[in-house]
Amino acid sequence: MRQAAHRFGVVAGGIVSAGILLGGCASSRPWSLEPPPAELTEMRPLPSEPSERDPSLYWDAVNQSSFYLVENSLNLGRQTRKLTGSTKDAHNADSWGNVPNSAWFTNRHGSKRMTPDEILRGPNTIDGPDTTHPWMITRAKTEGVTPGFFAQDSNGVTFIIKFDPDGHPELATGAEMISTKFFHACGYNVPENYISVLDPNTIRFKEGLEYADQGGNRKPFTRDVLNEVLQKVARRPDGKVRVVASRFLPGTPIGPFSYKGTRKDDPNDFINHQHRRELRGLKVLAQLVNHYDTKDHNTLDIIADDGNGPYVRHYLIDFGSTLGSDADEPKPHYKGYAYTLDLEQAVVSLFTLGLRQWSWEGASSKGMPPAVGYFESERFTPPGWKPLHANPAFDNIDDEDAYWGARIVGAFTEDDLRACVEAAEYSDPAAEEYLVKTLMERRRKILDYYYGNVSPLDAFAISQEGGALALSFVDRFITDGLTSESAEFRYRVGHKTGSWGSYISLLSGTSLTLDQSAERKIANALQSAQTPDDRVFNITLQARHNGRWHKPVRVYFYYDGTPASARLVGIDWDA
Amino acid sequence: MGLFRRARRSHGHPVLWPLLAVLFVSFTPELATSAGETDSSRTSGASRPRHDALDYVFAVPSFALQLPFRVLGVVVSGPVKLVEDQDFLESLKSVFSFDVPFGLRPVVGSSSRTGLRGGLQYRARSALATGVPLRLKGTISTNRYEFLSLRIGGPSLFESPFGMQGEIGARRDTRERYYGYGPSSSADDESNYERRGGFGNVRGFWQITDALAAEGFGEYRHVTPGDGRGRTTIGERDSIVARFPDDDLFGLYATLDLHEFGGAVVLDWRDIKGSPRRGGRGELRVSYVGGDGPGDTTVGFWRIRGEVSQYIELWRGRVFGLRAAAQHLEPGNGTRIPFYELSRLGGSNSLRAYRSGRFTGRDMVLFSAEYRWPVWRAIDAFLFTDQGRVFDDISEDFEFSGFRSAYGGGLRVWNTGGHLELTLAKGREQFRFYLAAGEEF
Repeated sequence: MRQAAHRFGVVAGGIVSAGILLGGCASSRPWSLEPPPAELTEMRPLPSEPSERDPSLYWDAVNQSSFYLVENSLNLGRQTRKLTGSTKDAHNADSWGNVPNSAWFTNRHGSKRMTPDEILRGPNTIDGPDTTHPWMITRAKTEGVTPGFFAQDSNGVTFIIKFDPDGHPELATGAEMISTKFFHACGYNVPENYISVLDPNTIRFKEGLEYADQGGNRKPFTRDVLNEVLQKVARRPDGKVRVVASRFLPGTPIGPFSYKGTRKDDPNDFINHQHRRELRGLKVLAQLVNHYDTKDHNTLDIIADDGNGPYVRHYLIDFGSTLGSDADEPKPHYKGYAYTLDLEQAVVSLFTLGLRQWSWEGASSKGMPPAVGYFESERFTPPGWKPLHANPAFDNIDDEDAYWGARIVGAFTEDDLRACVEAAEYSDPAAEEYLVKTLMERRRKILDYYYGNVSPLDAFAISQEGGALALSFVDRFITDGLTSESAEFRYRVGHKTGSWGSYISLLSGTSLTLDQSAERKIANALQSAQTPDDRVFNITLQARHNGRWHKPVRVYFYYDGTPASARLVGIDWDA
Repeated sequence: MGLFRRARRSHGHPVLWPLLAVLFVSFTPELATSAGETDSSRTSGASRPRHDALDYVFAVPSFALQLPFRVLGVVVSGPVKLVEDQDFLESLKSVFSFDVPFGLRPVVGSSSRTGLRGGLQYRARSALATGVPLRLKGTISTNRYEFLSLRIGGPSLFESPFGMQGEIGARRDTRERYYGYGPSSSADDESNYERRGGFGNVRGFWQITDALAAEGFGEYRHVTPGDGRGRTTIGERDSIVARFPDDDLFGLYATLDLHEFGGAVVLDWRDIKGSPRRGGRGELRVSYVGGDGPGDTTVGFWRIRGEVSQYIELWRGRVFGLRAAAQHLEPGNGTRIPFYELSRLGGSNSLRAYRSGRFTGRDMVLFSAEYRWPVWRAIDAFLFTDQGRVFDDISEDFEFSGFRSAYGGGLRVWNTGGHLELTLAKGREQFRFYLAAGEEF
């Protein structure tokens, strides 16, 4: 018995040691001498049409709340990475930390500023459904928590019609509109959503239209059924109904994508989704507008064709459960602060006899406009934010992913956020004001936290001025309005992934010129350089705000000694 | 044989290893796609450190640790998906909302007293289109308990504060426990008796205010006790007469026709019945039981029962609950009390570490204190202590010594209508485990 235990110990110890060793050695060069691609090759024409994916909603919830979490905790590779702090970098980020345009994401406000008008227009390509002529219901969904219809306007454009819950006008439709504009500006594919007004008296029904009752029986959809269904939704005093008309996405829907793994029958989908930067970093963006319902079912894959052949485009959909809305009611206080079934909080509560108090306990919606629901910024903390269920992509987020997301959040000024909120067309101006103020405060907290985890320096540019190499940069902590106090910086220079000497203080400003000592070392290194990689140097920069040094950022540059050769080849915020 | 066994060990199981290999490949898709991900020509042109090597090194031990949960997940996913397909969750919600569904439904249950119990129940919202609800219920159990009843009416009728309910039925309780009279009875004297007969009762209800209600009732009971002999084939308990002299068991061999009339006042100011945070509940129930006893004896006694509970929210769902309950039986001049009508202590809503009816006496007193705290949304945990004792006459021999203690804890899943409770209780004699539904303390 003891022998067996000893043998087990040796084997286990060996595996752990090898793992840590390999983990430490697994780093490859963090720069690329090739320019970053503008687009990923993820939109190549499909050789065959992928099949429709129809995962179980309940199983998704059960699995993500329990089995997935247990399995994650038993993933030794992952736990070792956690222990050693060697996180697994996103697989689709380039050496500059960016995400190329793809079937998932298009760089928009985060890389090139959009105007508030552009943000407000969002993905929309038309002016909304034609309300001058009656709509025709072509498909109806009466069961479930929220009813919905497919309706066609007089132009033949099909929309999915979404409502506000009875007693809560503008709640879900407002949230849907704001988040649509926000996530579009961030760069995600989202549907075209329009605020519109439905007149139940003028609506027409497609001939032979049927619906399935609770028992699954097909029955004719009549005006009486429509009126019965509309009893569940918020109506205006004139009897009309404010709705979100969500334009049917162009292409063939093939079901939701998963935040884990890949779609096996899509050859373009070769990066595990939990390691895509735009899905990991979505956690930070979701925190701003409290998009806690990031389950697979709130995504959709579409077989799209832009003229170069069919490919799968990936969408985020259904934002009715964002901000302070829970689609069919104001958001319960715990959502956004705990999982639906939060085993960790439950176990801690159980064994501490309830002495541990959670941030969402005792919360109150007092003072919040009814159209907003429960959405606040006081109790909100970025590390304490949680989606409805554990999300594999969010669980893999590292500092660089978070910084990527935070930079996009930082790109939104008050005017930009107001443009998003204006899309909700709230009848109560106080709702708009409250949301803008709350979003700005959440933005501040998000930036403060995630910028605090790295040196939030950006927009690096290297040049050779007057015979000396110079690096300029932008301090996001200051440009995004987190502090009015001046920052302190220090740097050191190195060859490839190494560093020479100790940090040198940068007395003022956000640019530096290498001193003669560093220039001499670079010249010496160039003399023995044989490959292009031997001509890669780095500058490690560290920023200090409010008396605290941030984690350094390392900027890699290529330089062969000629004046025009200096160029950036990589940035590592996790240096 | 030994050679064969060694050969099997060295080459592995012919089914197990291939099966494990298939499971490994299917459960570790991340490794399968990792190679593709490093193809820099397909991604960004940059090669970033990703520490994928750890996944390879730990793949097998991680797989071994995760395998049971993954297999469990596959097993569980089937029923979960089934639930989704059949709207089963809605049915489950209606069950847990404590609204017993209308129509014909199976009834199942289990307790250490009755064993596994099953039967049918028919509920109609409006019997013969009168607007009056009806319930017909029949059950049998593995311990040969039998029950059949027809109930018409309810606590509230026609959306008024008044209600009326009548019920007739018959029952056979075959394995009732008796341990002897008084606080010093011993668990070693556990014995068995039987009680069977018919009953009919009428109750009138008046919901005076939201918190205050009154009830008046009258019941006729035809009771035929038995000594348990011939009914003890399940279990090893002795007949009651093997343990106790007949003289101590008034009413054992007599078929009695008893009537009981009384009334009750209930003041209920709890905020949530299923898991009160604030408020309390008080109940006073007074009735008179009478009838002809065996021979020339007469049965006649007053039953006075009072219970009060109070809930104090310490902060945010952390609640301290207190309960005091007492029952006093007062026989009239020259009248007696059948042994099975005496006050009893023990059970899931009484002295929790002791079996139902573990203590029997004319009077009983019970104190409970609980600390409850939220574990998750509609799940509370609780720690409790119960102190209880039976007395011969509480007005003469009450004392604070001799109380039996129970303590323990559990989990309670609740909603506004009631709760489902899992309790583990420890007393001097044993551990008790309960899974019970209700809305009591």
